Amino acid sequence: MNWHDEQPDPLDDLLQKAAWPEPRAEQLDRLAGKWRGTVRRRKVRNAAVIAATIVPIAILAWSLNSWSHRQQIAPANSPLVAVEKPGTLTPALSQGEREKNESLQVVLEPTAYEQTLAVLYRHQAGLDRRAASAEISATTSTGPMMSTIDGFFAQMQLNATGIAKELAAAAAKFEIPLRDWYQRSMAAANDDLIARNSSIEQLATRSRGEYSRQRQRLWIGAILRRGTSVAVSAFLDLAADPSTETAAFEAAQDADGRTIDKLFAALESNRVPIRQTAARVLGSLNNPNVSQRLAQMALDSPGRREALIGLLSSSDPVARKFLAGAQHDAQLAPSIRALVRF
Amino acid sequence: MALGGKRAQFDRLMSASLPAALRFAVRLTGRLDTAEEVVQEAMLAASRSWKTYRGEAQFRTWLLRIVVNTFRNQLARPVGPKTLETDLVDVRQRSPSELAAAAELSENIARCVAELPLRQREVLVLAVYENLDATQIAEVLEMSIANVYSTLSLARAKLRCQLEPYLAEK
Repeated sequence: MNWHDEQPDPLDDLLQKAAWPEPRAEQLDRLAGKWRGTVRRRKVRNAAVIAATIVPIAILAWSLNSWSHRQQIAPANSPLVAVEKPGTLTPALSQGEREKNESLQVVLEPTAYEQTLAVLYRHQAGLDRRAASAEISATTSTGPMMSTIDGFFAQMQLNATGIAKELAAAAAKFEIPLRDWYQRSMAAANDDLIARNSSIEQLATRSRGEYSRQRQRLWIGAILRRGTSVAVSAFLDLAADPSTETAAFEAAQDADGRTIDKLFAALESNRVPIRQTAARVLGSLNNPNVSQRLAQMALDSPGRREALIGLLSSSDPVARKFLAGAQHDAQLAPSIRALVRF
Repeated sequence: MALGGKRAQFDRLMSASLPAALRFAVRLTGRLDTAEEVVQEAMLAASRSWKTYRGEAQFRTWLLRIVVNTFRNQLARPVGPKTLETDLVDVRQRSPSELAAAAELSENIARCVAELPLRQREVLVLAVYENLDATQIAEVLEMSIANVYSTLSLARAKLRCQLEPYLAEK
């Protein structure tokens, strides 16, 4: 230690003789092993962190790329697009390449997105709507066209003006090739979208505005499938409306258990027309289980006419048998007679 | 230097410095097992804070500082009493010749060092056994240079008193 004293100090010599226990070889090995383990764990952790960072970014990039492809409208002077099936783009081929590859059939077709835009435009403009309604065909709900339509509807709510321009351009470009396809599939796809994305009030309004019972039934069925109390209430209003009554009763044939429960709940409504309409609808189902429940209600509360109205509206054997017996019941017979006369 | 290369260099330096770190910890703690625990914890602390290491020239003082801090943290923990590996010997109660005969001089000096107050012990070990200058010690212990000198002076005075029989014999 030569930095604090000028003269040699015997204490320094003495201190140099100090001896501590020498670290053992196994201690050093243990420490070295622990250090290697620390390094190894850190590398694994870093790899996991990198993977956890890269995977979401890759997914996001892929999603953005996919979405941007959906947004692209082919310009008027775009190269030829070889399409094996709608929505699948392959690189454009030169004339020479096409001659060489005779097995590849090159067809000039719009992309799925372009088709969708054009068809929606035509539908919105009222072109061929009747024909489309008449020719509902086999567009699957999970195909690329439906995905495109879903994305389109989401975007349309954000940018209606821009979409309208794109629609017009696409329709002008592909009007003729799209005609057949539209007649085959677009109406069903579009109706399904409307049924899924419209509010109950919108569906009810649409039902009253339709000119065919089949179309009315479509929207009323969509209301019933919601299965909520609000939906059942709107349905009963439509069932009580002479302009939609027939379609509503037809649509009720597809009611599921949850909707039937809601209809039974409507029998407790404080509005007489609602109670009676619900009873008639329940009876029209001609369902033995429903008839059984109605019969039980009639027995439990002989003064309640809704259950009897439901049973009288039914052609189900269970209902018929019960009514036959009830006509001889002192409590039920007068109500039945009164309802029949009415 | 890229981050990965710097980290690899750090890993190599750390691996090579483990024996020196363990020896230093033994001198600080006076015990092999405690020293190993201190170095283990210092390794983890170094791994966590390796980005504060700025280059090869500073690595030794950087590591010594981590070992010292780990040692202090361990002392601050409430632990059960530890028995010394062997009983301390009061060298003033035994004649130098007896001690020399028992070949205990070296151990007794180490025990005297181990009995120094913590800060004095740290300064003395760094100065005498790690051969650091006052600036480096100040950096390791995060104290002023003047404080290093005064603390070292106190440590030496205490040791001089305790080791007086040996010094007189010389």
